[in-house]
Amino acid sequence: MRGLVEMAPGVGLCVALALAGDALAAWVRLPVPGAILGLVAYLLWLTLGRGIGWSRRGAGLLIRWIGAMIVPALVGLQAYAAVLAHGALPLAMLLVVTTLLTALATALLYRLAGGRG
Amino acid sequence: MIESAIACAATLAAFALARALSARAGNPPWASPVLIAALLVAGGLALAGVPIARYSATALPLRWLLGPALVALALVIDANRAALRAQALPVLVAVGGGMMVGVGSAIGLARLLGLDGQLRDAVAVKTLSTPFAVAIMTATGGPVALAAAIAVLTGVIGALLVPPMFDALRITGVAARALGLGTAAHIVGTDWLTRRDPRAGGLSALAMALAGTLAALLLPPAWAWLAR
Repeated sequence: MRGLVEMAPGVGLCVALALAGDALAAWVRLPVPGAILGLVAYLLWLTLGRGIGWSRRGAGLLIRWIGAMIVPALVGLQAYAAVLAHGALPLAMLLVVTTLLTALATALLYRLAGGRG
Repeated sequence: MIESAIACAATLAAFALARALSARAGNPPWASPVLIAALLVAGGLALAGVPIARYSATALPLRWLLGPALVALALVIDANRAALRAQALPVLVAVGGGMMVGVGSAIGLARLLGLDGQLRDAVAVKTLSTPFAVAIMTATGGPVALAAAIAVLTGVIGALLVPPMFDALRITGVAARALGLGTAAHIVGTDWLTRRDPRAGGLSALAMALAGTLAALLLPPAWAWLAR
């Protein structure tokens, strides 16, 4: 029970920032997910570093369960069975090639830009 | 209301069980808790004779929480602030550039291979962590379920294949490898790396969160042009 009380402020803050982000995106007709604006606001707040320690436990709770929040979207995959069956082989090829390419490009760019280690 | 509570509680329970099963197997990349949980839920729905559409409608509160959880991911960037500050330019160039290569190569290759329109939309966000992919697809009206599945699959493929590729190409820098894995294989790669080297795992998590944030800010405004 005490754990819940400690987590409530952080969860509340993230909910409030997500709602505010949605409202702002709708208001200025910005075509980005409202939650991303909330993320940027929270990051700025954390970077300024004042009085935000109380939010960490609740935000951590949300992150730990983020996988469960994706499950409902994944369960809807059945609707795309035909699309997937039809394109399975080229899709698999695409995923392997582009994933390796992305990792390689990132590592090389890091070196080119003077990154250490 | 009660039905919603049951759907959400069942999903949370399925995810907890899936996480335990994955841990039991030693957390291999292919035993993705999200995928296992989705299979458990789909199986449960089939057994109970509940149509998927009804489940989707009742599990909406859980889905909605993805927004606040996305906000919470700022913690991941903040936790690795020191690493970011020490090498801000190389990290941003690598992750931003790598993300663009990931998006661009997927869109280009999908077109080259003549993939179906919905698959083309879905693979565009494949390199991003699933919450970001879902948020972007929701904002652009794309195929959310397809994009989520492809993002998870990309993570599994990357966690299995990227480290051997780095070995084969003699790319040994810890930071370069961590950023590459985080950008290409997001959370699955990050989990894999964190179990072996927690500090490198932090960099990988940073890459994942940064790539997702940059993409969510840049892709939706450019969507009409990208998906042309």
